[in-house]
Amino acid sequence: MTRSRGGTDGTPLLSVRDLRTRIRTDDGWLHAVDGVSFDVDRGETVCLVGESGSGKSVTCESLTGLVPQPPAEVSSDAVEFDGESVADRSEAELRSIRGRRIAHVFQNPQSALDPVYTVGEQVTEPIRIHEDVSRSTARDRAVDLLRRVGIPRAGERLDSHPHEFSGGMQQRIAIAVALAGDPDLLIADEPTTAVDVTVQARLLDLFRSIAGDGTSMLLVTHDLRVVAAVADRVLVMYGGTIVERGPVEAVFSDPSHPYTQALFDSYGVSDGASIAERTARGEIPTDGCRFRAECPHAVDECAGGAQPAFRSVADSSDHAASCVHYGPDGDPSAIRENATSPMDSRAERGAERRSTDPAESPATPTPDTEGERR
Amino acid sequence: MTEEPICSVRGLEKHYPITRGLLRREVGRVRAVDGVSFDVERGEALGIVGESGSGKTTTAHTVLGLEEPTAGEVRFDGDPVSELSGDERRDFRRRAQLIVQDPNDALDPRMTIGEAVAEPLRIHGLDDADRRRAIVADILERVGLSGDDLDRYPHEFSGGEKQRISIARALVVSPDLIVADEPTSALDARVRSEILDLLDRIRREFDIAVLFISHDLDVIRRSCDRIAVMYLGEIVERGATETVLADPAHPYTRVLLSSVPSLDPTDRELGRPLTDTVPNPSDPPSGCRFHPRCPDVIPPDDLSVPEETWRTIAGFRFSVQAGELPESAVGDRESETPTSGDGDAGGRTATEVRRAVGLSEELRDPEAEAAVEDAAAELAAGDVDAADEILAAAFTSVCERETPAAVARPAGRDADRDATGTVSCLRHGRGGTSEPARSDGDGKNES
Amino acid sequence: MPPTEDDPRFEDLDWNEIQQSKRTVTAERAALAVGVALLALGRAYQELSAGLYLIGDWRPVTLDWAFLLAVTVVAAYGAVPFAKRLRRRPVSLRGVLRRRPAVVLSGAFVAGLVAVGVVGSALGGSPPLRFQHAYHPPVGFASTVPPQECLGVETGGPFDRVCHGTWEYPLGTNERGHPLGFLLVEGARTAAYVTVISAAFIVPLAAAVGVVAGIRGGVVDDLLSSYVDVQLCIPALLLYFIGYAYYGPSLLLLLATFGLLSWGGIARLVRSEVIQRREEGYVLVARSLGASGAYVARRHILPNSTNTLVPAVFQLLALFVLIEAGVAFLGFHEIGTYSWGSTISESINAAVAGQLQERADQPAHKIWWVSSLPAAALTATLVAFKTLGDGVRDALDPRGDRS
Repeated sequence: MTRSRGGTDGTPLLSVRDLRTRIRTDDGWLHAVDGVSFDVDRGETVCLVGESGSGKSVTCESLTGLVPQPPAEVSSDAVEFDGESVADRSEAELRSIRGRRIAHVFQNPQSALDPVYTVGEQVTEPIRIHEDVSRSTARDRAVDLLRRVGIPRAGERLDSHPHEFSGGMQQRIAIAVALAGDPDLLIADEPTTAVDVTVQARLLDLFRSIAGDGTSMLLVTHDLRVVAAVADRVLVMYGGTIVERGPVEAVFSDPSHPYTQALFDSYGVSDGASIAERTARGEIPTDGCRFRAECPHAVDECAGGAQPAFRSVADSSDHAASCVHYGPDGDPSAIRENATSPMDSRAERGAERRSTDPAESPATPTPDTEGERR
Repeated sequence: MTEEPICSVRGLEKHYPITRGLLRREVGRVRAVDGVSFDVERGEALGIVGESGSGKTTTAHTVLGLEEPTAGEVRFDGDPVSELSGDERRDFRRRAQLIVQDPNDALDPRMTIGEAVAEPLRIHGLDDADRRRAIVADILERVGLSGDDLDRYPHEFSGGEKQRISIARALVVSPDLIVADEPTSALDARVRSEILDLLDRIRREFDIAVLFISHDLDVIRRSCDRIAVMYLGEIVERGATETVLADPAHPYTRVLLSSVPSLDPTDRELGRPLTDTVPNPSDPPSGCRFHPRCPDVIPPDDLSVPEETWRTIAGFRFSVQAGELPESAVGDRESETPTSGDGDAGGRTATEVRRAVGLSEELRDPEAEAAVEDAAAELAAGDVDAADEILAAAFTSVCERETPAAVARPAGRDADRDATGTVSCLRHGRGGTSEPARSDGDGKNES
Repeated sequence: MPPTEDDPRFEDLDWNEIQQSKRTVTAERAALAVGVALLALGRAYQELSAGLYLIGDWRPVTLDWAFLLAVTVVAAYGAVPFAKRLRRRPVSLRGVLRRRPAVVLSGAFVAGLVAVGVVGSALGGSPPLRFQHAYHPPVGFASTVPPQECLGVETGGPFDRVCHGTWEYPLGTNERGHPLGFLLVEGARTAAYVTVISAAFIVPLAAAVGVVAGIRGGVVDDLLSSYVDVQLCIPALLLYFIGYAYYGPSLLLLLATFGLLSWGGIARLVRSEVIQRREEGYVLVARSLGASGAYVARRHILPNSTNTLVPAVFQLLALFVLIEAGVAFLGFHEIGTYSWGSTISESINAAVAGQLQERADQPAHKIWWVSSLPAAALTATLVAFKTLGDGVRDALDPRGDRS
């Protein structure tokens, strides 16, 4: 069942350059994705992390033409999958790529699975669409797939309907449907957000085992813990742009962009003294550094033009941040001071709780009017 | 605190009958909450943590009198809530407020936020519209919004702002208790921490007790003084947040804690219960309700196998019971145990079944060996029920016979029980003889 | 702004001081009370003055009183809240007219319909039969089936006379010589009666049943729902015919049978909305504040159900107009009331309506205006109700276009 995973010539499986998606709204164009470039290597798990509205989901949907156009408009310098351009394919070609080479898993399994059809029918459907196999072969393959994603008594339950399964099991089935075409790349959008923590743990195990089988994954999440559990590399998104990227250990041991630091900060890892006093949130700027309105280190150079160029943060050339302070004229020391890594101790998993006495804790943010509405 | 608690819950039960037919004959009942007791002290934050189906939201609703308890009592400021009437009841309705989970359905989309925040005042009889407006404008500024936002509709606000409005609405009638049901589960991390900080600040400033209902241990850790862990309608462990989370005594608490991924990407181990299926609350397991999933389930007294083997046997037994084994008994539950390959779709042998569940080696205990072999044979023949019966008869744990009582958590055996909290687990509660088992397997073999 | 320290409790309301006051007088209730009082006075006057005409030569019958009561109810609980809303957040008529001309036009049309209903009754009176003036064409048109006495210009020879329209009868006349204008107004009056009475009595009934079933749940819900299901199975037309056999034709009978049997759909709709909404966060919060079921239904559930409820209600009202026209078209209406349906029917085949006369054998298309004009009025009414329903829905939804 495992196809050979293409060449090992070092070309990435997925290569995205300057992807832009804008969506027409009543108030004008919304630049949901604003110049995003990244690679996903073969067998690699890449996590796209950001808050709601950061453009992480739209990025994924833009790759395979899942965003409805109109109202959206997608453009890019290049979207290459397995060495071939995907960007200007016809809808029919995209469909074939979508089911077979690139598969999607969404947050809500209830909406991904059709309540009218049995689980077996839904898992065999992509197999029979993309391959000319007999009904019984497809059925055997479906049992294998369901077993692989951890559905107990898969053979018996092939004829059950989705509602007979729990939420976690439904998500597994949705993953099985996605794996049915034996894709090279699995794109999962917040796949564990709707489930309980013990169920999430099992799903994360499952994703790791899928990654272990050589399938590349692009996983979208807002939860740094999920990132820590599955990612090889991390892309941190803010305001439609990637602000920091790097191997997961590097980013987690040394969060370098002020936004990434703020994100870690909200997990209560550090005492948050610096970021908590950030300025009021206003509209997210659409040029320069998008985070500058909230950034405690913002300077005049942050504004205008394209987003700041990626500069490698430490010795590791892979780990880079889009922040002027890391540029040739910048001085990142002020930012580096704040970098508190969650890896410094595992205490956060144990007992440590930061002081909650307001007298001692300068972390209590002033309740400024937050203009996060968009 | 010497004062009496603002809210005191004793033996709370809430059962939902499952009825059938036009005459609504009761054919069973969902035991959503089944004997829960706790106190919320004045000004403190108590967190109730549990997964969906644990009954935490039902508990919250029953505390607020939104649901009539099936049994048990809720006392508010010393008075039983069910007996309140007239002005006293109205007073209770004012002093205990609710913040709901989803900011998107917390506010009526047809009401301006001014009307929404003023609603409690209006319901509680403040008829002066101008005065209401002034109070609302003031309170909106206190939660970080602008008084000018009064005439805008909820859809014009972000999730975090809507939750601030919800908090304002709860605050506007000067409550003594706020029940916050998953107040941040729909929010992004940064907004979540802002909202939690706001709740924290408000709690301290106005000395309001907060009952947090959450599935998120981060939220509880951050905001609560004390924690109560719920599983299938019961509180299994409680105590000061720091101590419980640093040194969880109940196996379920440990599973819960270790299921949360660490922020350290080099530490990717996730905890797991023995079986994944959450039992149906209409038919909860006997004895300790967690026993079919408990990694530390107590072995039968007459069993002489190593702890590790016992855990495998227990896993085998409860997987069969929960129907989690594949019909071919290929132990592919999480793909850690080796699969027997895809080619052998034909008949199984007992040996294959045993290999699949990790019990291929012969057990030292002859009776256990016989039972496992018989069960494997039945499974190989496809008779799951028979296998289940054999295993249940051979490996009956005390955990399924005895209901554990709440005993003081081990750390504070000689200290004050209220301070250290309690745990309901037979590992801790059998006359203090057995040492609490650790998930790393140093539990004593009880043979 | 961070809170100031000198004022820890934002405003110290003394909750012991604030007593639950039951506000009994609202604008809605006041309007209803005044209206009902006026009606009662009028009715009493009519009784006491020994059956004389009330105004002019108008002698209101039961149906008229029912209509006036219905107008009062609709005004109190439709127009008064609307006015309140306008006062709170004024909208410029011109702005709305620019953005939603169709809705404004429809609103004006429906308002006109109701006004005709109110005023038309009082003006009342039936023009005399003038068979000699039958089949005058509308102004600007010519008829090859000329009336015996053509008031307009006559052309052609003695055997192929052509009568041209006259301002005496701007819209032409029917076979009895009744001017079409009069018939259209009479038809509008009937339509207004049908819609307003249904809106005032049927819709609240449906809403009440739906809300009670949805909020109470359990056995109450089972009983009400199965009753609604049974009721939806009874053909109202059949029931009307049975009643017709006993009491003869009557608009009141028609309204009673169709009205009482057709609200089931709305009740179901309301019930499902209630069930959907009753678990919403704001409903939970209101309940935890001690709000009653009635309060929750009125303040939260019904306002949030308007997206489905309002268009459905307007559609039902339009359907009633159509049903009344249909029944009248079939001839089961009171001879004295001129419905659009009966006018159409008479023109298509005068014999059907029992109006046998010499020209009944004329093809209907030669007297097209007698059927087309009421048909156009009927269509316009249906379109107006549909458009207005959608417009009202949008206007009530703050998320939509705030018109």
